[in-house]
Amino acid sequence: MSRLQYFLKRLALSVPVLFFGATLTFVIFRFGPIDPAAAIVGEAATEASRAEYQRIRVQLGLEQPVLEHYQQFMVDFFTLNLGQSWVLAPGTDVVDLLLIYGPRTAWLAFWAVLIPIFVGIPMGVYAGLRSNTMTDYSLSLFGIVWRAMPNFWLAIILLAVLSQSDALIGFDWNAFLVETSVTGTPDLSNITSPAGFAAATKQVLPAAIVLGSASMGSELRIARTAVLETINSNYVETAKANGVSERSLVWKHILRNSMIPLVPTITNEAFLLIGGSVIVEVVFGINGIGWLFFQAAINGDLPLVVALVFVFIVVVVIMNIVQDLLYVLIDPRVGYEGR
Amino acid sequence: MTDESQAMSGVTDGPLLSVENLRTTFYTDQETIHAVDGVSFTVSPQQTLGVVGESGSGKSVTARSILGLVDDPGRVHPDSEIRYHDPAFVQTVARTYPDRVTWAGEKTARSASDAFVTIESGSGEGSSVTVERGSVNLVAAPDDVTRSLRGSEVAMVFQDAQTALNPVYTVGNQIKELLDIHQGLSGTEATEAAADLLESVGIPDPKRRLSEYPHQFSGGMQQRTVIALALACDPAVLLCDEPTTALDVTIQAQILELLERLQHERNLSILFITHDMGVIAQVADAVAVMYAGEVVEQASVDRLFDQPRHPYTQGLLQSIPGLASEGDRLPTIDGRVPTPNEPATYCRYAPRCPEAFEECKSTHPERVPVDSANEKSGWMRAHTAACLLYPEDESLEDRLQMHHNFGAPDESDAATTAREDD
Repeated sequence: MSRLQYFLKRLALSVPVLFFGATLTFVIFRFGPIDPAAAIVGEAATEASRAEYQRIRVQLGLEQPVLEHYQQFMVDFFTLNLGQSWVLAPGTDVVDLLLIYGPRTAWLAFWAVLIPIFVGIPMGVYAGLRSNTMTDYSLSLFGIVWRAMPNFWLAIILLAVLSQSDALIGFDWNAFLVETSVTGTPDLSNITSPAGFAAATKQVLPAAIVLGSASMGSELRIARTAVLETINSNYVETAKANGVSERSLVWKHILRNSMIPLVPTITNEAFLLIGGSVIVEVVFGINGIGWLFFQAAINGDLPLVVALVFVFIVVVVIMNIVQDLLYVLIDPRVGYEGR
Repeated sequence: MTDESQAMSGVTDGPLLSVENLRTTFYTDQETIHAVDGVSFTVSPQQTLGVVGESGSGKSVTARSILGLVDDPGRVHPDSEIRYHDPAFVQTVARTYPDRVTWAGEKTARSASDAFVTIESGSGEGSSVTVERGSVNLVAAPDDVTRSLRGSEVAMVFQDAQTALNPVYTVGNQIKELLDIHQGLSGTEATEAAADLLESVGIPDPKRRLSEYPHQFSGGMQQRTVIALALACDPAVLLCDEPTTALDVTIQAQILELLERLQHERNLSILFITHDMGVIAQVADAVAVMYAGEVVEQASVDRLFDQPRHPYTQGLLQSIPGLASEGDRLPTIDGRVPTPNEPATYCRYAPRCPEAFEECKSTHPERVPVDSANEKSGWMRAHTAACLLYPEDESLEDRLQMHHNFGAPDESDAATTAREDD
């Protein structure tokens, strides 16, 4: 019961976090160094543009008293009325933009999270089980290399190699399995059909590998450490001394305990994907949220930037809740404060 | 089945578990540590052997060596012998590895050079052999054999119960896992058996407790649970590695009583490791005193407490509060246990020994009977000490000669045969 209580407590605590985050975006919007209206109108030289400037300020609520504006801003955000884009796609609702751009980033992030989990963690576990062997050393080195390669560099190298793969490594990436190009936005319209799924996956795969590369490296190393620590714990020795088979030792006793330090690593790495997706989406020409955010920022589309920042905050808070949920499921000691 | 019961009936008064010249060494970059250096002892059926010694004397490593749990960089020396004598187990192993069986006293046709199963009496051949008396040398045996011994024949109760239970599974889950492995129980049958086990180790309301996690148990109950885990394997030998050290005295007394009751109910042989002489007095039938990786004195519990012979044992007993009556200061043994990082060519206790003399620094004491009257008596009454002062009815010169002959590896065989011929 205390586990459920713990989870509900964490859930309740996320509300003030959300509130504080939204307030911060409001402060940036209202008191930040850039005047949102000026950025939209541009040079206010003529009489007409000055009138336009004034009209936009009113419309954005900047002429209201601060408290009134703040109240309206918060109510709008918490009712998911995120406003409109003014520069990039004038007059389009942010929610509509999210519906167009969001799924592409979600698809990219999905693979960028899955690849480290299903490649990095098994490698780390294997290295941990065979610690201080040649296999362990090569796997650890492999992890360090992936961890160390910066995304922007790796993205460009991968782009260069894959786009000329025929000439460079004698293997045509574009024609492999399904016809795709290295760059460009995945087509998610017929993702339910096998061919469509394969095409959409292959399209984001290079970007997902780049985005997940660092996570894969760190998850490999954390998994190795966690397994090593668990292997040397007394309960594993007890189970071994009482005749539990090697397979059950690994799959039952070691793995679940190793997952406890891995959960925050996975979710923390997932936060990084939000920032990383901006670079990777730009390099690979995927029109996702990261790309949209980048364009909005350099074009001074402040209402859109603020709305996207709020969306990122919501995503981070949701991930935190997922992390707490996983904790509660894996570790029965969570929320236990003694009798 | 008939073979099995026949084999079971063959239990004689020999030992159930015997350790002969066990040497476990840890090889690190800096030094080589002889954690266990030539330890020998036997555990008789349904008896308790207490192993006592200070921290770092090699007690725990001895227990781990028996179950093959010594990890890198530690290694059990291949000449060491850890023999398990249960006829049913020996028979199963002999049938699985028919070409690695040797017949005692018959060194010709039927024995293999890499044999690890010794049959002393039995009949048959190959995979239908019947064993009445014999033993399996676990040091030479393949990993499979050691693994099949763990739990079902020899189970271990660890020191720190709080960390010996897996924190993420319920107590019931962990007990039922072992019941499934060793007794083939599952489902409601296993739940019933698990609840019975918890009840037999004195945990109230066992049905409800099964679905609780280890952290919801108190320290004493965790220790009881660890004992229940070991019992779920239905072993013949229980290795208890300081099972009461982390507990307060009242709980300690309860656990010791529990172990005593379980020993009678389930016919267990117990190897009880502790640093506490008081606990030894309470539980043990025979005692082996360990110092720096070696057994320095071995005797029945009464003899050891009445007539301790080795200066180290004497020092240990004097330093128990209440036993020493004179003076207002408790006698202590100065200094600390040395790390045994070189082969023993001298007495490792000599630097702390009040009775040390010149030869102690150059002659390694071997385990000898404390006096010649003791030499021929049965094992349970045998009293041996590894000290140049004994056998005490011989002259110093003879004693030195005796220890010297025992210690020299080439001559040791000759010496033993010569003595047996007498």
